[in-house]
Amino acid sequence: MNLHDIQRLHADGLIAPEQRDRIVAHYKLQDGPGRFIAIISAIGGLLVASGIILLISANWDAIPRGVKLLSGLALMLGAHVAGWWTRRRHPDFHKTAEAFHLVGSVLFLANIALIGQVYHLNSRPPNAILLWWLGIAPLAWILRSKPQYILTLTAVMVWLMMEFLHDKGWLHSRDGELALLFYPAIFTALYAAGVRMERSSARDFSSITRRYGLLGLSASLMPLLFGWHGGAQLASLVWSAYLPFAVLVVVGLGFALRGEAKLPLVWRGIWFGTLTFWLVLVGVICATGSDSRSWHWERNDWVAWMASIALFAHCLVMVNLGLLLGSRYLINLGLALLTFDVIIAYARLFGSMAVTGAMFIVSGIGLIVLGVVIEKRRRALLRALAERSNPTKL
Amino acid sequence: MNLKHFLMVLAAQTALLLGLIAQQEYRLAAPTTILLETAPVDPRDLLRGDYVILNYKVSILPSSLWDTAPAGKFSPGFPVFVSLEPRGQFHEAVLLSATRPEPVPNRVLIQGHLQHSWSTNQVRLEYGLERYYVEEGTGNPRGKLTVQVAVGAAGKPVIKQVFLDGKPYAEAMRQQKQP
Repeated sequence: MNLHDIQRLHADGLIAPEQRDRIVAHYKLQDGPGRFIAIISAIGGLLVASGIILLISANWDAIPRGVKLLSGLALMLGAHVAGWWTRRRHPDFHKTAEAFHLVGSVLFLANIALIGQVYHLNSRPPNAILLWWLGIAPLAWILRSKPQYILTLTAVMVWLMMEFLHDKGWLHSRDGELALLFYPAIFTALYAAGVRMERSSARDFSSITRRYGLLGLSASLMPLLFGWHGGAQLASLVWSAYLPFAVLVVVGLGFALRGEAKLPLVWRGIWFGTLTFWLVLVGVICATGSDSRSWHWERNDWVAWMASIALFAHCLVMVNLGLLLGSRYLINLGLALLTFDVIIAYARLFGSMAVTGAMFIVSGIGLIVLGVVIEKRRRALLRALAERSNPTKL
Repeated sequence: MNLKHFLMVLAAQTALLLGLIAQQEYRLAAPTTILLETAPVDPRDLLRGDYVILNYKVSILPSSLWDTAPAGKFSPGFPVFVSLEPRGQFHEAVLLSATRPEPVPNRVLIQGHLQHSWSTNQVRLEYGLERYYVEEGTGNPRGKLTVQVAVGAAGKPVIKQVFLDGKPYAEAMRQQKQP
């Protein structure tokens, strides 16, 4: 709802002038820059940055290296100064200021890459992302900026992924299989941190952290639906590396959820059990790996089916939590995952149904009906939620 | 929102970037420079976008160059020291050590890292000199590549210049591109 909407309602004769003024005063609506200007600013910023990068690359050898490096530095500082100036002088254009700061933070990474290119550095690529993360991390707090915070979280996750997957990574194991073992626990830790942040000075970032954690956890569980198995080499790491970390995460999750006063005790317990179950399941799958290969898929085995059933229950719990907490995000994520889970289970049955073509028709229709039912249910839940007076940001 | 803290972060970011630049400039300014000969590589490996893969003759060394036979198996990434001596215009490897050897006149010491090797008779090394970034569209040189390397007291090598048939790379590529 913005000022323009209220003015249209008034122009159409649906609300009286006094009502219009009261709504505008109550919600402190003003003719702000809006999403359009923010998008235009972001695209403009990206175009300018891309143009400059292209200009430099097209004249690579003609430009002295000092000029290249100082230009990169000046651009980065210029973007941040422009962001700060816009924020201070034109508070209404805070989204434009955010866009400037974002460009500045991305240019910091570009500068690290530029130095790597100019001096032909061949060190570990994860180092560049680590430096980037360390450099931009304080900005989110100082600027109290959610986009900067999302960028910071993304930098951490990209850095971790590179450490897992790159052959020079500190956490690299054969084929990067440690990533699949550790990611569910890492994202659960992030979610727990988000819950804990709700009761700290970093409260502004609590919702984003929880969302990021839950989304990441959901994504990291997907390989289980396809029957992912760790190799024998991974089994030895479960006891020495994964178990202590997972125990730490579970304890942290327990402490974080204990303070989640908006949830009844029994639902706190159910949610804690649901999240802990995944960490145990991943550990068991890897600890029982005896195959000499590294990670591999076994399409129709117990892992895939157990993960499907568990994810189904997980989604139902998430939707219910969404209703209890008044969170559209939890409801949407829960139902989206549920749909995905059913589709994957259906796809897994393809082989066994291939002999009777009729099964495809029946199950296809069933899938469409399920989709319609889920969407109707989702809308009903969101309507019920909208009628309540205490929605939360999560 | 605190201006002092904001400026401190910008200063830290700038200092970090300037520190990286200063470190590399310091290495480039090292008084010792040597020429390394590149070994022929598969042209399909050479044509990789906007950088050239450099494979040196000193990248693969015979195991007989170890000063003392290594005990056990070294894992990839293990740091080693290579002693180079001038042979004509180029420097070539004469000794391979797991620990820093005593300095010997006329020898230059560079540090490398062990890579996977499929043969027990050979040692494959990486020096951090394997990529040379070039102007867009000039990553397909035809001719003999030689590399001038600056080596500091610590033995960390850094590419100073790459020559194509004796000419600086960029100039040689411009001439190759002209009809």
